Amino acid sequence: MIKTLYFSINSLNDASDAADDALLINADRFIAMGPAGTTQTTAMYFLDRANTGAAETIITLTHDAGRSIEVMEDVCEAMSGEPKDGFIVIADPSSGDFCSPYITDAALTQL
Amino acid sequence: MRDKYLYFGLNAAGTEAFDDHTAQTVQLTTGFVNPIPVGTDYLANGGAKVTVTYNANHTYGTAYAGMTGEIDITAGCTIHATSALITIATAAADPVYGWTKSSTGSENDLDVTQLKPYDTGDGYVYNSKYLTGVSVAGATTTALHFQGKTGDVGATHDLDTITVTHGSAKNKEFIQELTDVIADDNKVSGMVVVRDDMRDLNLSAQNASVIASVAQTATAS
Repeated sequence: MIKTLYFSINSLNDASDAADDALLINADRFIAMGPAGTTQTTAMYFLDRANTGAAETIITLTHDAGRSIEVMEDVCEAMSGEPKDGFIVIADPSSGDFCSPYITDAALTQL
Repeated sequence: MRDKYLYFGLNAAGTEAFDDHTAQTVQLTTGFVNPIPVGTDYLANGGAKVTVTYNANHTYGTAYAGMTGEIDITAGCTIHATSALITIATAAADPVYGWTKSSTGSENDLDVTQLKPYDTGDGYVYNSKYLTGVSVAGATTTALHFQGKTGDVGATHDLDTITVTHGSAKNKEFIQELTDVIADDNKVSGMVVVRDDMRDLNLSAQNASVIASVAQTATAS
């Protein structure tokens, strides 16, 4: 099964009116995840969405203070799921749909 | 075989001691963790605990009745949104969870201990799909090599290496415990803690390979 992870970016944005307002990425490209330097952020690291082989795609999840470990557990549980269409929403702040009750927003960094 | 998500808690818990303390507040500094924790819910969400060494000249809320030794008074504490100043409610203000210091400073010994990770590098989940190899690093250490988080592959391949410390000559036992988890599609789902130094958790309750700690190095090409 091909699983894909969906993120809309920045709760203040419309999810579909500008470049990088949302990202769908193959779950196979997920490398790692960890706390991101504040009590309220956790970063997900992916192989570059553009397949350059020399960059990374990072999604930074914003969440309740001190909830990084719970967010990582919830994200892993969601990624372990096997929905029929393979479509897994990790964070969609534009519609308030999240895989974890602690996540509130998402940001995209393309390096 | 499905991907498994392997968690390695790399940093030990941050702690800060406030011995002979004369105030009803404690100010966390970067000596606790750098950066200091932020968010008013940090304590309520279990990010850290505040403990006090019992003294008969303290006044305790009813929740602590009969307790001695190190008493967890986190329930009576609040933390400032940005400054990491922790205020402890007095027993008069909060008769259940409050605590009032002794007027003699030398009788007030408090500690704040981190319970959950938040700093960059405190811990990482790795996708088992990107476990490229496992090697014996020494009698008590085994190295797990993963594709680097930087995403650099091919000619500029980056590598993240997790080094697990375990019992002497237990390398094979550890590797087998790990592959048992990675290969098990029936019982294993979600995040699996391989080793968490902060919470002192191991891959299995039996811990046959006597896992003791874990560390990480990131190698750029």
